[in-house]
Amino acid sequence: MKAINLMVKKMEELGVEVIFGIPGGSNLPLYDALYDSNISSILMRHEQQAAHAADGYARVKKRPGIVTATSGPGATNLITGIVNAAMDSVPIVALTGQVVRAFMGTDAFQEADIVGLVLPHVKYAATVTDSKRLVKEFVNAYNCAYSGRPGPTLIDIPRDVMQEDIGELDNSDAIPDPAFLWKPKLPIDAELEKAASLISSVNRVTILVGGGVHFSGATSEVLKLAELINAPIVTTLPGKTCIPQDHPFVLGSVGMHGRLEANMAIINSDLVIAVGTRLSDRAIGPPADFKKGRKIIHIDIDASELGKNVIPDVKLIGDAKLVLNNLINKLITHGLSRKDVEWIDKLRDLKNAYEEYMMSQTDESRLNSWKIVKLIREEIPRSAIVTTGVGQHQMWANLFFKVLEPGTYITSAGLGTMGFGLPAAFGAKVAAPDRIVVNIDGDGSFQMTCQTLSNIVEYNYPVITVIFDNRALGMVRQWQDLFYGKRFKDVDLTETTDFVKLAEAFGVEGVFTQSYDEVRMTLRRAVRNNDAIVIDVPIDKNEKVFPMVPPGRWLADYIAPPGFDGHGKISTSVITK
Amino acid sequence: MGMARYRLQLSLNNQPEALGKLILLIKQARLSLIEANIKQASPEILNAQLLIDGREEKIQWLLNKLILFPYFKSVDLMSIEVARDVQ
Repeated sequence: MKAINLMVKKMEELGVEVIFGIPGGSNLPLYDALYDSNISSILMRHEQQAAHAADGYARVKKRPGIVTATSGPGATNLITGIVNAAMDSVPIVALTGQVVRAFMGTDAFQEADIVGLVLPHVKYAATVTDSKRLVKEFVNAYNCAYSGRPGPTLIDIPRDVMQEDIGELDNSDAIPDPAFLWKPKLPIDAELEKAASLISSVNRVTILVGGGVHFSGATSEVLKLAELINAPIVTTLPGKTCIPQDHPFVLGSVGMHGRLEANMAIINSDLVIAVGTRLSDRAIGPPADFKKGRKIIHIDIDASELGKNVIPDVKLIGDAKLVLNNLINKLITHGLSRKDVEWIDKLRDLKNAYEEYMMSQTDESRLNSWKIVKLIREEIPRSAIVTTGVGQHQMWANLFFKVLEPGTYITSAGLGTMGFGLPAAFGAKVAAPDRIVVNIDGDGSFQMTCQTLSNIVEYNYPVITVIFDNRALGMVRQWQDLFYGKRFKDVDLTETTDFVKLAEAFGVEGVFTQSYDEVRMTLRRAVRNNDAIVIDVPIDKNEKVFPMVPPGRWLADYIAPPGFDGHGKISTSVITK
Repeated sequence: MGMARYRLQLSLNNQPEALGKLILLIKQARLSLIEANIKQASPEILNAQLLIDGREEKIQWLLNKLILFPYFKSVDLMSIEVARDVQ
């Protein structure tokens, strides 16, 4: 049997259901093997979109998404999607075709060193030059992608390696090599003890949740800990998907465009328990400010994250679910008394004041992004999955979209990849065809990957797209407005592109809306009928996302929405430091 | 934290990807490579001894990072010089 047929057989045994990609000269043997398999293949329109679709699929399924591309340009087109998956710790396995071994290193047609190109950003990448190793290399890469801290892996396979006859599958190929078997570490008891003592010794504790909680499945442990110690929960951007925002202790996302009350929770805390987050600059601002005046307990599965950006007082290495369970038990043993909740009430007051203020802004001549986001939440089921592009619309979604069920919010957080939203939504819909999937997009982001509309129609995976259409690269424009003296350069997009016609050209219904009611009724109909649709919502290009913490500044240096003083709550009741 | 000089001893897969990853991680940690001595221990395994300079926390980061990647079989670190001022 050919090596590639054995690999595909192994993929089936591992439960691979679908592969996103595009065939070409060098990965044709893979497609030929897929022809006889139970694995569905989805023909994307660009390899970047295939990688994002695999990413969206993986986040919903909590198992590796598989993507394939041919050698050369096919492989290099994957790179953005692979790096995006790395930055958000998402397990995807990329299978690239390579030119035949005899031509490798000769600058042959469509030859590119894809392993060399992705090596800084993957957990594992290798070119398979021995056909007898192919199945084992796939098993290794698949296992590596999802075990420990998830992330992308890549196997580069010369065409002739795929085609070699290697007999039957060796049983030893079924299990990964020892180096690929991640062994969960138990948290060190002395560190747990230190953490419990620290929690007991302070007044105001905030739990900062990162994306690691999603793949760990530690939502209920986070909530249990919060309830045990009366701690508000705030999240990073990737952490937003982990926690239901209708829980009374959840305040929303922190960071540059975080919620005021969430940033205030960090600013006013004596101790931050950071779970499954790398504590990036966008989330916490300058590390020195973050560390000043507060203790940090950092829980992460990746030991190299502990102390990378912020040196914690207590390091707890391990899977979030396991560590939190142990910590909760330790706290219960300690007989911890519940902490005062008065400050959480004040933060909630600020939350309500901000929402009331924003919702009270009325201007008959324009639609406001935050009201559209709120409306979307009202019209879609709790279980609906929402993806976003990157830009102002993403930050409005971050501020106003309330995640109600864990795992239902997918965004490109670390890399900030414009164009992520639509293909990721498609991948999510493939993973969960019975759920409503909505892509909240910007007109700039949408135009980067809008060909995915073809897939939505062709494979009948209807996705709803709402375009926040301000005819600009809105976030870049906002920075030019605030930090470059309004010297707008190359941020305005043409007024002539017709998104309704564009959608229709792909066979998807397009609707231009001019009122909240129109948006609501159109969305309601699409949800009811599970229709694919593109809803074009005009937004004023001068609308700016606030609050905003200027780049490089501490969370307390936020710019509030013009005219908002939090009814005095920002300056008097909440900030005590 | 101060700068330090360390000798890093590794056992790694005998594949270009493993060596590439090692150098890229040293780059990511913004460490200086002073000396490298790499020998084949077996057809599958390389032994490497590196002399590196850099901030102590970055060297610690490198150590923690290396063990996460399947290219590397074992990593040992020995401090041979410390206490130079932060540059």
